[in-house]
Amino acid sequence: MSAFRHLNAEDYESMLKGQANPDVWNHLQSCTQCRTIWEEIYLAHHTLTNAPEVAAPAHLLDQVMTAIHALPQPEQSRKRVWRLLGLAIGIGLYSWFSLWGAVIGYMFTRYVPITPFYTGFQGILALLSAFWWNWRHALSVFLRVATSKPWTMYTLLSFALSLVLLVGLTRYYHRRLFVHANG
Amino acid sequence: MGHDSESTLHTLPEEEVIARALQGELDAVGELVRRYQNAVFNLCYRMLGDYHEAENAAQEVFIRMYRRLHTYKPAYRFSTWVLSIASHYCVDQLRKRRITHVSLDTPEMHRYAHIRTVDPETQALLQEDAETLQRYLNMLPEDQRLILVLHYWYDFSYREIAHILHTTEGAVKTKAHRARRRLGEILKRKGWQGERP
Repeated sequence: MSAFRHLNAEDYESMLKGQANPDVWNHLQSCTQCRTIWEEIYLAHHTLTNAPEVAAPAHLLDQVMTAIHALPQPEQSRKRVWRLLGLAIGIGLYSWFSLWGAVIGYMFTRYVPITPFYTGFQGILALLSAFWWNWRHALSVFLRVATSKPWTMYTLLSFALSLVLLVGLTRYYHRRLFVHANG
Repeated sequence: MGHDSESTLHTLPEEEVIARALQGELDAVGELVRRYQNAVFNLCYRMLGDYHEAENAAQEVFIRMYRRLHTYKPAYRFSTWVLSIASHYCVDQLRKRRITHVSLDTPEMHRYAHIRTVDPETQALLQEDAETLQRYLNMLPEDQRLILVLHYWYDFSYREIAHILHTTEGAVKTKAHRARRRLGEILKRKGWQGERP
């Protein structure tokens, strides 16, 4: 053994477990380098094996339970989650208000006028109605209408914001909803 | 939920206590905290090297345990799961801190009060040893220290440690070897004479 190589991590590991090959022990007798390493490893192993566990302070349990009791209780959290989701949905619906106007107008008149009352989301209707015909044309109509006025830009942005808010809040509170389902 | 309930919980098997805690029984959560407070605190102390920081860390770990209890999978040991939360929390704290300076100028005798000794003088020596060892442990990189702590204080296998650290068993073995060697070098260089009677 001593002739062909120095000991490696596996050898030392097996020595610590008392499962080493006799050749490994023989090598240790003749190789100063490996013996030095083994002495260091054994010293660390032996010290750690006999190191005591540090006891938790006596008040830790009370401290933790006080903190847990102070956490929002399941019912409160559930209400808070639904309130926030309701707010997000409300903002979303509000931003769609002009779209509903346009939809109703389109249903009755088959015409989507661009007026201050019917803002950017006529563009969506234009997009949908024209989609089957020519999607490139539909997209260009949508973008032209949606970005034509500050009103339409505002509506577009508020719609996008409400979607982001809705998705974000839902994802953020998803885990909480599950936690509280257990409570 | 009074004293009777608590004394009943003491005798219940762990799975039963976990099931009750999952149903929202706070006494059962308290029982889990009671059972694991020493283990979690010791891990936090060994990793962070500061008694008061370890206390805050242990509290945070138990709050996380409570919040994430529903994610526990009975396929694994509960101790593995709790100590995994503690390990990750401590590593995060160390990363935030970046400096692992530890002040041990004000030793507190009660920390090692559970060490059974014959006389106060021997106890003081043992305490000194324990604190010196902690100072040497702090000289190791955090990943190596964590592996040694989990392996020696909690008897975790390399496979379990690999699972906790999201790495391979081989990587853990290599780091454990390096950590032991490095700690051994430090102990030898400092003329470590632990293990007093």
